[in-house]
Amino acid sequence: MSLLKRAPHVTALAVVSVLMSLGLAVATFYVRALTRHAIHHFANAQSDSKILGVTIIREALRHPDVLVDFGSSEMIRGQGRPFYGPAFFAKAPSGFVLFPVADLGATPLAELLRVAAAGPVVRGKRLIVSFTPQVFIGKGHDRFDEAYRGNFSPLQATVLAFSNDLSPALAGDLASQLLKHAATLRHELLLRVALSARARDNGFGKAMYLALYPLGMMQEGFYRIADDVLVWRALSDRKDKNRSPRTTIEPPNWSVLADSADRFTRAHASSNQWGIEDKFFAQQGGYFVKQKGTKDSTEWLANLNEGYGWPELDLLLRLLKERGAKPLIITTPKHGLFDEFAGLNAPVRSRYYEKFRAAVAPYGFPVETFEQYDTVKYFLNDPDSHLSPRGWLRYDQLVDAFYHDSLR
Amino acid sequence: MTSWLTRSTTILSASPSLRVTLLVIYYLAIVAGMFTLYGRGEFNPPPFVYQAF
Repeated sequence: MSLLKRAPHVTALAVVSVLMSLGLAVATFYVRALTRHAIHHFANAQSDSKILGVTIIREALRHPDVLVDFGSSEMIRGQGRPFYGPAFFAKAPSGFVLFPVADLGATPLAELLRVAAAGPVVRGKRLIVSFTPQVFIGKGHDRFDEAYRGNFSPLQATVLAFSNDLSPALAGDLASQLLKHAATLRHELLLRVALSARARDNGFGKAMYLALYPLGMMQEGFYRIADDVLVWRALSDRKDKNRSPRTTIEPPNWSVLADSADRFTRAHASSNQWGIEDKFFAQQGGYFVKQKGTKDSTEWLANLNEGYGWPELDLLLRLLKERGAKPLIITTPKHGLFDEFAGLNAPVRSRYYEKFRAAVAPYGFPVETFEQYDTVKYFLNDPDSHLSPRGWLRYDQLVDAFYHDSLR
Repeated sequence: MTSWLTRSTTILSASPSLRVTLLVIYYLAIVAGMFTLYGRGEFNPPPFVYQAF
């Protein structure tokens, strides 16, 4: 009673704090339960909470019938086309749904942040990490930095910076890589200082990191509340309230579908010699025609060797290895037919596939480069290595085999 | 007006628990007001220009 009398404001604030904490805990529990209930819905829906958050990614990885695919534009540009993976598997014809966590222009470091957001949940989980070749043939680093900024998530970076399960060497290298993008950390003082502390391999760095750890946990907690609000908004907007995909439909008959995909793709890519989609060619064809002989093999190979994405890919693979994930690493192929026209011959292009495989080899993960489709007309939708319906069907077949552990 | 204020102050002085309860409601109302004012903001990041990958 004396406390009530002597410090009524302090008492009232304490009561309000407890009530708010309880309210937040209940709201968080509610949103997480809703997410668990509706996770299949997100497989075919794009939202900021899915690509920049934590809640949805972690929940997706907890479901055995969800195959998460961390990717970039190759996972986005197929939307609305037949055989586009996430739509193709939406009703789980083969027992799972394909769940892209991807956005346009996602560099390997941006994909790494999304994988890191999952935390140790990835241990023992099958997942896919996919890329297009552009980021590895890196001319114009500024544009990749800019693309990374567009994909950067302070929440995911905070989760990574304050992850305790990583080896000091990997944590330090990841911190150093994140610090290279100063613009993304301009308004993130705590993150910047914590990453600097992790990047320092000495006693002072360790002491600094430990001192900042409670603050880091608080920041992560606040960001996760914001994440849950965005998830709740995304869930409120959904129209289909069904809990899980229907699994009563027939499993795919790949040979019949291959014929259908081939016919569809041909019918929609007849206006040019490279099998580029008609609609896309109508918009960009003038530019493509001017590219005849403009690519120099020597310069291209130099760019490949200094490619922007290679160090980031290596960090991503190290993270996956250390966390015990079971990924399939994919790159969509080069558009060989168009590249021939632009001046790059097959032996030159093959260096990309060799380098990609060599980058993954030390980690022992299965890898798919689709090199055999490099010059197959109608496999790609455009020269930027985005898949056509025919290409998507092959991709679907690949992920289906991966999910069922029957990769050859 | 003055007598009403005097009476209210006397009642609140005599009952600290009532005073704290009213303060709790007051603070919760402030928090609710802040949520109403700022909770509908646009928190999504701005779009960026797609650059071919």
